[in-house]
Amino acid sequence: MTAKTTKTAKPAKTPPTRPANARARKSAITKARKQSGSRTTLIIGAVVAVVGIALVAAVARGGNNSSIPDRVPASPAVVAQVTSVSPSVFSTVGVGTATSAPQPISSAPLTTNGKPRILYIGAEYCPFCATERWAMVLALSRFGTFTNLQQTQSSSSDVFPNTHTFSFYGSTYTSKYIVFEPVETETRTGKPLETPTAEQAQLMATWDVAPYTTQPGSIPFMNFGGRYVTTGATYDASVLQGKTAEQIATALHDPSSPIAKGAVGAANTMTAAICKLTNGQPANVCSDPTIAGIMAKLG
Amino acid sequence: MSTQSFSVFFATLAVACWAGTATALVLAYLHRRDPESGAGVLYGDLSRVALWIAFAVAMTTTLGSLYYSEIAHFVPCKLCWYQRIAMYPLSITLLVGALRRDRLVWWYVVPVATLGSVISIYHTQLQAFPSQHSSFCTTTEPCTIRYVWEFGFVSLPLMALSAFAVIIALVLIARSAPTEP
Repeated sequence: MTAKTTKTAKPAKTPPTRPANARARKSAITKARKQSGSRTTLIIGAVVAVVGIALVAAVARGGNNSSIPDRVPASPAVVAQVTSVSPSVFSTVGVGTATSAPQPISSAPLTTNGKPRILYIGAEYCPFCATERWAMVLALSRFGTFTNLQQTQSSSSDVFPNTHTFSFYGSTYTSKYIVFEPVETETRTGKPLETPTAEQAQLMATWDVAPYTTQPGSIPFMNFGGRYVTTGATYDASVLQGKTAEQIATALHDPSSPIAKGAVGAANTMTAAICKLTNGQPANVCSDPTIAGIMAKLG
Repeated sequence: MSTQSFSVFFATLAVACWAGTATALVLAYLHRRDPESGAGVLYGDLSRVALWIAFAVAMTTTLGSLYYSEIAHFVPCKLCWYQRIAMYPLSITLLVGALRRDRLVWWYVVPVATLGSVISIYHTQLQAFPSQHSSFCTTTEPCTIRYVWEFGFVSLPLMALSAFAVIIALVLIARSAPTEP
């Protein structure tokens, strides 16, 4: 009975407002949770909206892709101009403003089918390769013929952006005197293009180092028959800045233009190195006093 | 979608990350001044979901970098690899942290993300001034080339930096998340 009395008495001792407070508190917590939940939904909604906006921007702007194609077949007019620079221009320019000449190395001769082999490793994005290709096409065209040369531009986001140039990718070169082996490793946007063979990579690893370069592994890298190497551009890349391929090709015929002084000068040093490999063949090129003079200095 | 479209998508998200980082800083300031204010309360709500958002950012960045190397075939340079090394584990760490509602996950995330940020800053300035001849770069795997350049300022290392920045901000905000579910 006592226990019963105690039990019934207990609610009476409790203040009458307490259950109401608990209910109110519970209700307040529920309300706060609901509000918090809706704000959390708002935050997540904002994140989803941002992703949606990014998608819309991608579709709108990405679809309007005005980027330059990797390469196009070279303009026959440009190729004709570059491969028809007169001997008098080569003679007048001499070494011009070429900043370096092929450096002699001591290694086994590089040959293919008995012909001296010239290895080039570069990439389409590389602005210095873009610079060097003008001189290479000039020099190599004196010993043979290119077909299917391509035109491209260097990377739009590197130094000397969008330098107009040729690409050797997909081209062929025929010559009585030499074999030309070009490797373009990447496109102008950095996509893989051609992989050097193990032998080519080994040649680069062996000779694209000090003292021949301050930056090991740098491109463009050229090996002339195992007797000479060049790394990097051998004339000032800035002379080509802002010029179209047509403008560059035209300027090559003017021996007083900075482009001719650079590209033709570099071509003459390459020509002299190749003449060393071919034992002075062809005579009409290698016996030119300008070339003979450079050959004497090459070592 | 083309690579260009993906680049615009990721660049837009990178800009959003900067906006998110700035908003988080403002909210943190307002919360500190008056936790009961609207901004202060919003800060509290953000702290509840901050780890999940940070995880989403880390995972998107990881997938984005894999897209560029495996699908778009952009060759990652040495500095890119260091940033990847900092970012990839964050995807896992932040997922586990978010699942466990671990407010202390910032202890593991902030040092790695800070290191990643420093590398991203160095890489960004190297691309802006490529004549420095950094010993990290080789011409076959250049770190000076901007494979992506959107809106006139967003490059790949800047995208990484924006992700690291917002992740740091979010895990620090998650510290003040209430312990109750």
